[in-house]
Amino acid sequence: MSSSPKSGEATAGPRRRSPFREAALLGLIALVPAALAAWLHPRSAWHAPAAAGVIKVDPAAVRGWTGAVVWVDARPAAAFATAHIPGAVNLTERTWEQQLGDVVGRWNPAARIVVYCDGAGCQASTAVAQRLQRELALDQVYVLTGGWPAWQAASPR
Amino acid sequence: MKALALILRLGLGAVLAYAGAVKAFDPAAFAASLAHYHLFPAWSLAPLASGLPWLELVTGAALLANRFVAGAALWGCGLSFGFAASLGWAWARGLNLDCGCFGGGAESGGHPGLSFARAVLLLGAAIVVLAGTRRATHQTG
Repeated sequence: MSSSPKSGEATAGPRRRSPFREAALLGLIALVPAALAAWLHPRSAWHAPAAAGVIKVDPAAVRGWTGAVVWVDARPAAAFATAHIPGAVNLTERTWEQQLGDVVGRWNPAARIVVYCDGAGCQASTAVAQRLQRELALDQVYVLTGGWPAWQAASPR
Repeated sequence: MKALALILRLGLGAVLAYAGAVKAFDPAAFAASLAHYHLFPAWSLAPLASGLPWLELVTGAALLANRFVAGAALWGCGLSFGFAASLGWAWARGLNLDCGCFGGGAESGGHPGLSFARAVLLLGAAIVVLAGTRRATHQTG
């Protein structure tokens, strides 16, 4: 009892924690639900490979193909209207229902579908390719590396 | 100054908690967004996509609840610095990406400069909150 320090005597301030210890504690607290989610979440990043079955091809490789190619332009309608790869059909996630018929109309079992969007950073082509693959039960759908700019750069003028 | 620190603490907490919660709902979509930065090695995507949202959520909740504020502000600094660095990198490279900040697709096509500016604002808020906690402990201790 007599050993309890008076408030003025404590050299370290009372109840003063290091921010780093607090941060470590918060990190540990976050780790528990994160681990549970990684294990149990139905859309866990661990279960779903980023783009299974979607194959990247570059423009030169597509030019080398002999079979039929169905080009799918995943850019917004305005960009498609300005210019697109000859024969391409427009298909975006936003207008999926209206446009899917165009793709199906062009497709036959021997044709390969190649989706492109606005460049290396755009996600639309991969998203559209995966959805096509899922909804039409296709084994392989291709995504054009570099998208529309790469196609233009590789086109002879 | 006290009022400003309070507003910044609650604002930072709300943004982090919201961003974390939205991404925690769909880790696979967040992993896809991260992949498009072409900045993180493939093996790191799943751990990042699983862990970051919960870290944001816990940090935001701590700031809102006024618990472990110094530690949470420290995480806030680290997280927002990381966001600013990766967004700035993507912006500099001219990547036209959906930043993935608040889940996939919600703000596709938003200018990367705006996302970058938002991350820098968050960093500023986190620094002010952290500085506030240091002063508070000096006064009481």
